[in-house]
Amino acid sequence: MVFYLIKHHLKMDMRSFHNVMSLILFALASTYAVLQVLGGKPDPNTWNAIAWVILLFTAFNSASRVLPEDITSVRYYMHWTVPPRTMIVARTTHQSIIMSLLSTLLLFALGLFLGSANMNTLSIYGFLAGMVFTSIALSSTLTLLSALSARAGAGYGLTAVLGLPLIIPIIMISTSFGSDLVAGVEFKNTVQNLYYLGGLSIGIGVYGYVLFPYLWRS
Amino acid sequence: MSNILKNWWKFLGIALIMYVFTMIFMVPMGPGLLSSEVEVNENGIASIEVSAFATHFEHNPKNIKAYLRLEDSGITIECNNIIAQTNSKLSLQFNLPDTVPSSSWDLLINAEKDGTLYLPNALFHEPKTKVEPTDLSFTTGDLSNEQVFEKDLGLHFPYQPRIVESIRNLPLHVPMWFTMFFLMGIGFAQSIRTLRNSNNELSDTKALSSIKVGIFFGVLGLLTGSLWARFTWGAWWVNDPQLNGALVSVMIYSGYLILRSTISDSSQRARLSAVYSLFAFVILMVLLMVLPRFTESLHPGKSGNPAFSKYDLDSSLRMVFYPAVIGWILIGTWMYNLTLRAELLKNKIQSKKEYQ
Repeated sequence: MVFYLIKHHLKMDMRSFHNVMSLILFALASTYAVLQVLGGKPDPNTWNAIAWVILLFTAFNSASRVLPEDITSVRYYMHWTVPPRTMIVARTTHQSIIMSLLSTLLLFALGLFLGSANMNTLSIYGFLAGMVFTSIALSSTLTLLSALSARAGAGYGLTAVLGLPLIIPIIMISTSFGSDLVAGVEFKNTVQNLYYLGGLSIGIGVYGYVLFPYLWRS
Repeated sequence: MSNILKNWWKFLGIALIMYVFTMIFMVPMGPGLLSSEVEVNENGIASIEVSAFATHFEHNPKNIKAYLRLEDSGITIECNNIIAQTNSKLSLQFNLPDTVPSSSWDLLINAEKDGTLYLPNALFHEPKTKVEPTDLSFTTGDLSNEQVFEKDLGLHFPYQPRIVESIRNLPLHVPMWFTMFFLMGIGFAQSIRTLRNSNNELSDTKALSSIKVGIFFGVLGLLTGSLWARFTWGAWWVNDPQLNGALVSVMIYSGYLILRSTISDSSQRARLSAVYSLFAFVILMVLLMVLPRFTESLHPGKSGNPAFSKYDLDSSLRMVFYPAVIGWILIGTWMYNLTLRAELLKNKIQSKKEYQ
């Protein structure tokens, strides 16, 4: 059931590809805008900050997409056919997949436009792993919040207002991981940050799994 | 009379807070050394001007003794010329022979009324000739117990370098966070109850009022903390994980109030805001209890610099601090009760309006 739903979501993404395309364009365009604003390659710390901020806003953009089941008529149908916990697992996984792909693409864009912040190959792979882990943690938080604000009938604005403070612990861990990597710390000496991120996303995921049915029923 | 008996805890709260405020402003500070100014002349005589805090040097100045001590080695030099200029200013003169090892020296001062005062790294001496010391005849051995003593001063707050008088802020700053945690805990428990029994408007209102009062205490904690940061760290706000966590958790709970204001249907509002408040409580725990322990922090109590060690909280501070925690929690509970009654009345008026 979960796999079917994820497949269905991905299929829907393929059908209306302009949705995903707009996210990709957002990531690319903001990276390019940063290049224009800075007028050159930034120093490693700035590079690190820019990377996480763009990832953050891409995640918010991605979470604010209107999924089919947020439309009232579809939601009533889903109510009778899909158990809520299956729903949240599928939504979070789908969101994580999309965000992981986007973050990989974002890292390419960053490397292309802003350079690689003096990182060696291993560190770049480490940075990519950090971005993927952050994407998963952000997805599990923002999926729950976007469902919440969709149910509240308030839309994107509420997701941003409620979400920004909530994701700060994640971003704090990610930035410290990234700043370690760009400062030349070896990947194996800062890998504990990835464990924290993993633990945080598992915790938030379990919490969402427990709480989502209460959001979903009416 | 029965009212008084029923509300005993409110009276206890007021009594404790009054006691705490009296103690905060009345208890004197203990003595300590603030700083030293060093001048070494050509003959190897070091003159040190020591400024101190809350000391009594003019009381029997002949009995004052001063020593320079090399860290961890037990080598000490006794001072041979002491002039007490005021109660808190002392001029010392030490004979430093050429053979003195190049190092930083700690200063110890024995005063009759104040006990032994200690100033780490008071003198850093670079000798002209760089030879390993062979002749240590000018020094004395390590100080005996009689030379280093603690004076029984009666009730006083301990002197701490850099913090000094602002230690009086402790019973006003730390209990704010304890109270906030307590109230957010009530909010957490009531939110669980809201989710368990559907249409439970009472527990939803309880969660709302406890979180409102909790935010108030969080803001008070931020304000007192900001004031304290100004005097000890030199800035109203510094970028520190503990401070960020505190600010962000207050922001998260403000989001709770915003979320409530966007939903008009009361049972849905109860359910959605309960889900959010459960989420917020866990993030609050992560932000204030877990995260600062993994990162470097200026704030005491985190990253291997414990807040409740014997150095920070001696018996006189404990005497004020624990009553302050209990007192503020009682006051917070009282405020929560009042807010709850107001909110329930508001709900009643609202539902009456809807009937008409």
